[in-house]
Amino acid sequence: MLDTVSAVFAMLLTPLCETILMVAGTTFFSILLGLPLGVVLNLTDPVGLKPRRMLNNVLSRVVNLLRSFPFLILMILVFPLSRLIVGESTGTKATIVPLAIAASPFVARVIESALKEIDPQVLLAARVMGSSTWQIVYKVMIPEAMPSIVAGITLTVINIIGYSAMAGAIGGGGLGDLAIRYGYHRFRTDVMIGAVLVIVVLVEAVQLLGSWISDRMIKKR
Amino acid sequence: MLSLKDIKKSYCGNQVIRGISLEVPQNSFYGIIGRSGAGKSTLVRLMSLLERPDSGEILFDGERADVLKSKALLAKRRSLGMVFQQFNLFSSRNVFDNVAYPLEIIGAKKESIAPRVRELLAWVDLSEKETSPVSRLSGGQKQRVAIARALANNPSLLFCDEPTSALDPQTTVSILELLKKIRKEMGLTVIMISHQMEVISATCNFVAELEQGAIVSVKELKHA
Repeated sequence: MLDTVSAVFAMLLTPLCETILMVAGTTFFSILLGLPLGVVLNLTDPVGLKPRRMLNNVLSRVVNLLRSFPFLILMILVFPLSRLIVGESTGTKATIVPLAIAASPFVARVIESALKEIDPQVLLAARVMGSSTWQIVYKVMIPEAMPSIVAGITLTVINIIGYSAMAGAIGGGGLGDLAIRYGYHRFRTDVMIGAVLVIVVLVEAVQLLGSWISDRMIKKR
Repeated sequence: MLSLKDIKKSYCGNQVIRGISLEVPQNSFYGIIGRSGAGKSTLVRLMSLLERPDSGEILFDGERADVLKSKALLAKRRSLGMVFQQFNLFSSRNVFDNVAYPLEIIGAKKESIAPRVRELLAWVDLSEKETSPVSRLSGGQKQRVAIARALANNPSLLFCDEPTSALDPQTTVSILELLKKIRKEMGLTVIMISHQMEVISATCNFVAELEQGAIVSVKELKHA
């Protein structure tokens, strides 16, 4: 029994590292793309600091379109782009490309709604003091909304973990790939259970860490 | 100091400010009183250059300010201070960092920010609260932080938009005393918007009455 458990966990180690790499890379790139997009969505809103109805409508539609795309189809469609950027269309690194494209609009909405929660009177105070729009964004809006942003990013990371497991179905690597190849195709229920358990622990750890950081920020205020 | 010349402002065809002209003398404590919906908030937004009038002129020391754009507009705003009813402090910053904000945005050096912030906190009697989160302060203390923040860049003019409306009577008295002291010792011009005549009469030496977007009377008071 112990031998089986240790053998399964030895099998899980490399896919776990791949999943962590995929999730970390995707989180980084989705924040890189989603943060400015969310800020622009908030600023250009009809009640934002720089209302631009047309631009806001276009960006909003693009975000909605990308969010409504089924992930597996998006991943297949993005294969050529992954090949162009990473040099391959499957595997851990290649999967970061569709994962980041799928997660960025989610991050953008998270940022947009976190920024909307800020009291408009606080932004008014920053404007009265002669802050530029950029100063208001990075010195007031983002710090004020940080606990909500952290909570939203935590949710995003958990979604990315789910997507990364799904990506395993079409050669994405990581724990999902292991669960499909061994657990499903080779009827290794022990591997399937092991992979699911590790994913559950990973999600739980991310949630605990995210909540801890967010709570700490709120308590400091 | 500040002159308004026949300024008008409408929103969606509804005229909120109907040709207001005012002369606010240097170093005066100028009160503007009016009921809810009289146009006080719009007037203060126009005077603090947050909005442009549809017509008319806003002059600071004889120079047009309503036509300023981009960097010149930001620079002008930085020479004004403003205190709000709900304090509008930044919850992500402690007391010190709230007061430091206006200095940070003008690019002041770190070594010059600390002494200035400490000087201002001493002025408002909050030196011992430097590292406190603003959420742990009382209403009066929050307003004192807001006053210190408004004074950080040595403004020539301080706007006070209903600064005591969210405070109890005792704290109101102490905040009004502080504003009077600041005006006197720093040589500031203060414009206070309020719907409470007792607040205006306790501090101001001029009062303009605003009704339906127009000034109906201007009186000189003997106080302050």
